[in-house]
Amino acid sequence: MREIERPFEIVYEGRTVKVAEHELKNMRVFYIDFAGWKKPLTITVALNRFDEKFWTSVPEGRQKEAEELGKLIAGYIRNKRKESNA
Amino acid sequence: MCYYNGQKVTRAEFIQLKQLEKAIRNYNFLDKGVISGFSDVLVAVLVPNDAKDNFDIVQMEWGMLPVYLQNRDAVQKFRTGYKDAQGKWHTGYTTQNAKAENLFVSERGGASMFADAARKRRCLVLSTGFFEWRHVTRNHKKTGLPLKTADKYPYYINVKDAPYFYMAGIWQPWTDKETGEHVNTLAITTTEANSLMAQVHNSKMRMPTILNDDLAWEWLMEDLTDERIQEIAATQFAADKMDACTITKEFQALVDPTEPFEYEDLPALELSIIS
Repeated sequence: MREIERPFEIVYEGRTVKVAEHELKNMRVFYIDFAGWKKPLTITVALNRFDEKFWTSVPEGRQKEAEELGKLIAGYIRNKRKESNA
Repeated sequence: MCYYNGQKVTRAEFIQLKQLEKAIRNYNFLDKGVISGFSDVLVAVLVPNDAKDNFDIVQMEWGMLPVYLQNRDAVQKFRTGYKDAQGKWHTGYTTQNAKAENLFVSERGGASMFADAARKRRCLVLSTGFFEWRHVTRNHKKTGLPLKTADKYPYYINVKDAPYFYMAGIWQPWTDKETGEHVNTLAITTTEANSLMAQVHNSKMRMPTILNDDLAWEWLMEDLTDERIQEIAATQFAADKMDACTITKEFQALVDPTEPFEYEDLPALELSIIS
């Protein structure tokens, strides 16, 4: 079973934002709390018609932020795994 | 072909994303690291669907409210206690937990406020872990006598290798007669502490009723006798399947409230007796 990430922080547009992972409807969901300077955002990884993964906001409408924050979250998780394997 | 956020996706993927949207809309606790029974945050609860062949996830207010309470002012008085016009103090009630042994008979031997809910409205509380305080009483340095006030250390307790687990609960709908506000309120059932929890929650020696999958299904879906309800509510989850670690005393303000924190002066738990 995949372990759900503990809540963590990343830096986005020069500010620290809080990220909490959840599993809903069998999908990995990240809730991003901007501490008031933006509306909270929920993003997930979906598959396009070519079976390629892409980050998307849920609900639709904040795709640019979803992609930017998704990359940062993926980077955070990747680095954390590298460090724990080192 | 369907589009989601400008990306071409299959119909199946589109449906899944739309279902996810619906699930997210129904949740407002995705950012909550700690859900406290003393805050107004709603908790995630599983209840049976109408066919009783699956469950629905809903939100409820933690702290069961009797139906006779007229409004939020009465709720406040019920929970915290109050002084009446004659200056007489009326003690408040804590109904976040319902002792397994008091589901049908109250501690004073009368009818229990939990009985109807225990028979008709059982639920499961979805949890990733919970917090309890361990009390350590030290001796006065000069006199050697025990100090009056114990030091308290918070612990995070979870079930090993389980990202989520079930706690047994019972629930009661409540309506504010003045505003029409309707909310479902719940109590988590508790049982006697196992050998791990007896060391951690050593002030009360209690623990929530944690159920394995089979018991959780039975608790939620089956028609049960009072005896069986009480028996399941009294289930003591095995100590060796649980973990407990100290966390910082400021844990409720942290991004990750479960992060381990060592206290140099705190005696370790006696793990050799855990089975």
